[in-house]
Amino acid sequence: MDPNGHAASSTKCGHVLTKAEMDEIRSDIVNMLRPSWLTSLPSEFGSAGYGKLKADQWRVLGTTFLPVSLVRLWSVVEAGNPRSERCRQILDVTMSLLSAVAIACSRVTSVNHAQLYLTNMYSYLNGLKTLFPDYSLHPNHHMALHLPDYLLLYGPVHSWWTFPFERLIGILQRISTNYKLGKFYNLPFSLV
Amino acid sequence: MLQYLVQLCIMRDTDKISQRDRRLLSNFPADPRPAQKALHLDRQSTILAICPDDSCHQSHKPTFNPGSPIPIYPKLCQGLHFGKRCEEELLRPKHIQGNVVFLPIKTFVYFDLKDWMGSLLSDSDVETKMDAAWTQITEPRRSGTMRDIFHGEMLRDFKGHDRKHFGSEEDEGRYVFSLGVDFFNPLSNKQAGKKVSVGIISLICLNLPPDLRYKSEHMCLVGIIPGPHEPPLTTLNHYLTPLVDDFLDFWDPGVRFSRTGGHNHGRLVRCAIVCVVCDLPAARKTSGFGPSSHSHFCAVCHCTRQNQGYNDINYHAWRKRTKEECLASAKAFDNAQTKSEQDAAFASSGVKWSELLRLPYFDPTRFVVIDAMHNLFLGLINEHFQNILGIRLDKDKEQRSPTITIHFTDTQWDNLTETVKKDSRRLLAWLRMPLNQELSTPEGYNSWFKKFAGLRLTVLQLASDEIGCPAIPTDHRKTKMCRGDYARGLLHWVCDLS
Repeated sequence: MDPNGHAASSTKCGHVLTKAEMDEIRSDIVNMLRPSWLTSLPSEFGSAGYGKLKADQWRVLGTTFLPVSLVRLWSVVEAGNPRSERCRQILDVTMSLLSAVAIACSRVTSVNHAQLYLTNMYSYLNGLKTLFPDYSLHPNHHMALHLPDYLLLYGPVHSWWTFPFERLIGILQRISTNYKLGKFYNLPFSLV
Repeated sequence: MLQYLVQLCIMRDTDKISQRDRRLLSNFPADPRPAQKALHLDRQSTILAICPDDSCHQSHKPTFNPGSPIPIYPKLCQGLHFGKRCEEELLRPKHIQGNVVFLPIKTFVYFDLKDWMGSLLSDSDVETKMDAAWTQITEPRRSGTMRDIFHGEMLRDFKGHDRKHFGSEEDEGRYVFSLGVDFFNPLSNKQAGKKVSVGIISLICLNLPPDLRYKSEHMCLVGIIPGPHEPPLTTLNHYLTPLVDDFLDFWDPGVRFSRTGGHNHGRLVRCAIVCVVCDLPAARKTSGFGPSSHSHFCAVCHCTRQNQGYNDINYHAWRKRTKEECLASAKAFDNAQTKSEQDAAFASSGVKWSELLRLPYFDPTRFVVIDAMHNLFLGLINEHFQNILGIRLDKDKEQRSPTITIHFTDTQWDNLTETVKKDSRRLLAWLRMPLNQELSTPEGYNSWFKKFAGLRLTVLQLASDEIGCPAIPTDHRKTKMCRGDYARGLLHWVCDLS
């Protein structure tokens, strides 16, 4: 066991990041100079009381902040330290996931994009299975392997993801109501 | 006030008011409703009566007597379940100005799609842009890059009712839509709040250029599925029926508008739904596939939980579903005469009937897209960082390390039932915490006393035996100890430790 109570090379899920590393990641987010249009994250994200992160916050976290922090923390392997070696492997797997996501969400797509996505996603899932043998995959992982078919059928994701529909829900949620369900007809719809 | 201002304007040059102006002033509207009516700001809508029975949800269109605006609904539900009528009461009496009127108990307001289309096409600029979308299909592109949905294979090969390419007819308006169905909590997602689920059916016209497409004024709200719960199983279909009816009209023979923004002499318009964009549970419900916990968990391929399971990632070997298979299975489900027959059909294929299958061009294996937002951001990235890498959400766990170790002896532990074990685990976790600081104040002591006294008597008894701290009764003559007494004893022991 290391001082933080984490097994040095545990294959258990949810026991990789230590508290010190989380603090590093948080301080990286605070210190990074970022454009003002980038979705902001709660400063203490990951702690209870700060709520769940939104889809776009996960996107920003996964595509901008975490790659920078994790590469800084984990890419240099200390010789003879099993935890450091294992973290390096986990970093590689994480980077394949993040590359796959970045490729899938690109504004431009092509047959090559779809192929590259599939390669990355496949190596992510394979890596996950070797690094965490006890972890069982979810239906989402299965569906993610079908995603490239849709990239070819429908082009870039921005025209077929649910962000606009969710925004419409946000507009509806903000309409003030009398909290009586089933009286929708009397609502003043500014949309319709 | 406005009326007075107008009057002043009219009387600026002259004292006399003409007959016409006098009439204008006397008919001056008191609220915005006449303007709304004159400018057609309100969208046409139909109010459907929904069966209040949670397992039925059958929708009923109103009928009208000639010349009367009062909608007439059937008194009892007409829904058929395996040859048996539902016959649930649909209407309730309401007293309006001394008259009794029967109004539907549960309503679904369907906003007319043809009316919305008409209002969208009344802008000639928008209409031109929508027609221009099809030119993207033929324009040459560098090395197969795709920048919009029109560059995708789907729309490049999409055939119309006449077997020619859907966008090839230039005289007619040919428009494609994506359909979104999603459920949300109108009371916002509060931890302790009421759990209510209301649905929303909306359309996005893909012919609009991306910068206009997602503006709320260009998105079509078809209807709101009333709560308080999601319609179960295939009952969502009843809410899609009016929409599918309209889309059937829009496909063949098409809808002729008497005038549009760019065509003064009218124009025939044909429309199609080309993709269904929802999160995974709603997508499955809308398109008639079983949930992802079903044996046939995938809507795209024939993988089953028994044979491949979620863990299989050898995607080359997965056999894809085809449109014909899905249609055949869905028909078998729909034609089943008994509940058991229907269940058997569903168990073997994982396909249910969906109203969207009535659209002749609808291919459930290709049109129901996997939503990248839910799948990648809320699915994979979230799962990876939260559960695999462990961005811990629980602050208590990371801050409070155990100060002492306490265990129950194994023989005692094995005799406990599962619920008692759960309570014991909680108690042990509390006892291991550094509590002295909190117990020194009266408020802290009281809150912990409440927590301890809330546990089961057997658990407290056992703990006090194991640790060797006797219960402290309020009255020393008492022989039978209650939970509070044991809790006091345990807390006393904790305080003594420091």
